[in-house]
Amino acid sequence: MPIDLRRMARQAKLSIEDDKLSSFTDEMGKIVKMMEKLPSLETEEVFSGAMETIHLRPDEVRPSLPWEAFLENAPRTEEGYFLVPRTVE
Amino acid sequence: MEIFEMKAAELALCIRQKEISAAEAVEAALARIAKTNPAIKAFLYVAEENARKKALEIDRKIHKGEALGPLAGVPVALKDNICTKGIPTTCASHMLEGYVPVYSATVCEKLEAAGAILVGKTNLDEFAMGSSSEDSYFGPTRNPWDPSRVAGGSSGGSAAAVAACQVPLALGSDTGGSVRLPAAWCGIVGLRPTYGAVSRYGLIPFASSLDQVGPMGRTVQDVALAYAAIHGPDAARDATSREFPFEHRQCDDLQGLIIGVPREYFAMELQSEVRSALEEALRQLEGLGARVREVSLPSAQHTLSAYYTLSSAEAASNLARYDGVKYGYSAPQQETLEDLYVHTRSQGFGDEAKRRILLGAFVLCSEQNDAYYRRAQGVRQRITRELVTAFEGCDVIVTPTSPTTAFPLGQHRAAPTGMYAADACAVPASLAGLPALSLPCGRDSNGLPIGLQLVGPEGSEGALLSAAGCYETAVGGFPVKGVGK
Repeated sequence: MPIDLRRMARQAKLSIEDDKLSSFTDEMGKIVKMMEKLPSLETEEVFSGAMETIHLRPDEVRPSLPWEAFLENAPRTEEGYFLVPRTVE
Repeated sequence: MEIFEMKAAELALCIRQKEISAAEAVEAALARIAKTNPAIKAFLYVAEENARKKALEIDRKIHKGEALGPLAGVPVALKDNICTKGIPTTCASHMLEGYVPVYSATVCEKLEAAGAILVGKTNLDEFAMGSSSEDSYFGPTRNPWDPSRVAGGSSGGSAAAVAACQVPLALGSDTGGSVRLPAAWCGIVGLRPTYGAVSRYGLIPFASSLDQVGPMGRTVQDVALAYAAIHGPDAARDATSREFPFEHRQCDDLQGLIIGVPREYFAMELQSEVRSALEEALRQLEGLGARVREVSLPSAQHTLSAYYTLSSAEAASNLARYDGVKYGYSAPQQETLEDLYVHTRSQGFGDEAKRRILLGAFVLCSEQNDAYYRRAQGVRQRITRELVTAFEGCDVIVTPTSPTTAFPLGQHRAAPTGMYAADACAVPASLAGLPALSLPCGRDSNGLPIGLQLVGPEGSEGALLSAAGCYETAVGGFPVKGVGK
């Protein structure tokens, strides 16, 4: 299955430099070739996921970090908000 | 013997008996790191002030006769994808350069509660994606046995730090072999616990259904001590946390132990000295009373493909959080939110991280889901069933940790996927969520360490460590190779 690298990059919010496009496509092609050898599922096999290992805690309100802590590593803030480029005109 | 050469268990005893102070232990580690780190770059950050402050606290407690944890005064290192409050945590990425967590991982808190002293954060492949520790934004880690070679990855910094006697104990993380492979290539002991046995809270995620924090040390006893300190349920903060009782007993022989040897692993292409070392190790294990029988894992041939499919899919999801808004690198002067995301991520991530994200995006596309993702999950279920079935007839499975010894730095830079095969022996245990231990079992003709892997049923860390300890005693201990001794 050919890889549309530019489409994948758009989905992943990445841009790949033109001079690296070819090497990236080659490398990913090798991995996809490896993946193409994965055996098909038998009809009786159902992928149920790993839900049996998830344990939910009771829905209780607990203390968390103060909100200021979450801003400490933010690149840009203003009056307690994360600052981003304008999204609404 | 110099303080920096002491194992964690003997150092903890000497500190407890006031033969050595915690301050002396920390100063010895810091001096050792200053002397040897330029050659191997195991550490990215040395927390001198923190370490000295904690050492004083431990020494005060000793002086007052207060109760001490089992690792009181022992210097330790943490892989730099484990959050440490107030201490930089970068995942060896430009994306998190300068990031200082506002909380500590559970494993960090538990080590501190045990009295261990964090001296620094160690190098890794960026976001734990790699098998050599070359893909670090800050430069590669070199193997203390031969600095022209890789230390293995992705926990190469932690492995090198222990192997070079910078610290006696370190934590790494293992997704598809990232504790075991560098342990093997650096000639030390490394444990990947049962999935869920150690809390992942505060471990910056790569692939959440595969990641586990694991201890690394120069002896089995040291790894057992570290594991005892860090394991345990943490259900309030890690929904995948489970409880597995742990008891480590030393044993004099292996009478009654049945070892399974998967025919598929000895049929694969192995470096000849790796094959010989494994065969010799199996003879030694039989000499200790174990019985060896062949088992079969027919899905082993597909596990590497399944691992890269699943781990990339999870990585694409986990790394979507790096957007330049809340933390980490943020591309300057962007006009739109879309530009902020794209330029931040393109400038912040290295090439291997981008490859994994793109691969993940590919396999998760709706039209590819059946082709790759679901089939990979099918392989995962099959290998899990095959391992569980194998354990009905044996107690532990033995394989090489890796088909080869450490390769030269730069060997796979032109075609990075060439190094993926290094994980071939390690990934089945990861996919099945089973515990696996790597220990040294010889060296190749270049003097490079070879690793033996023991895989057990879930919750069998105690049995694995007991068997490994018996082997360690029988071979007279594992050789230590410092740097510039």
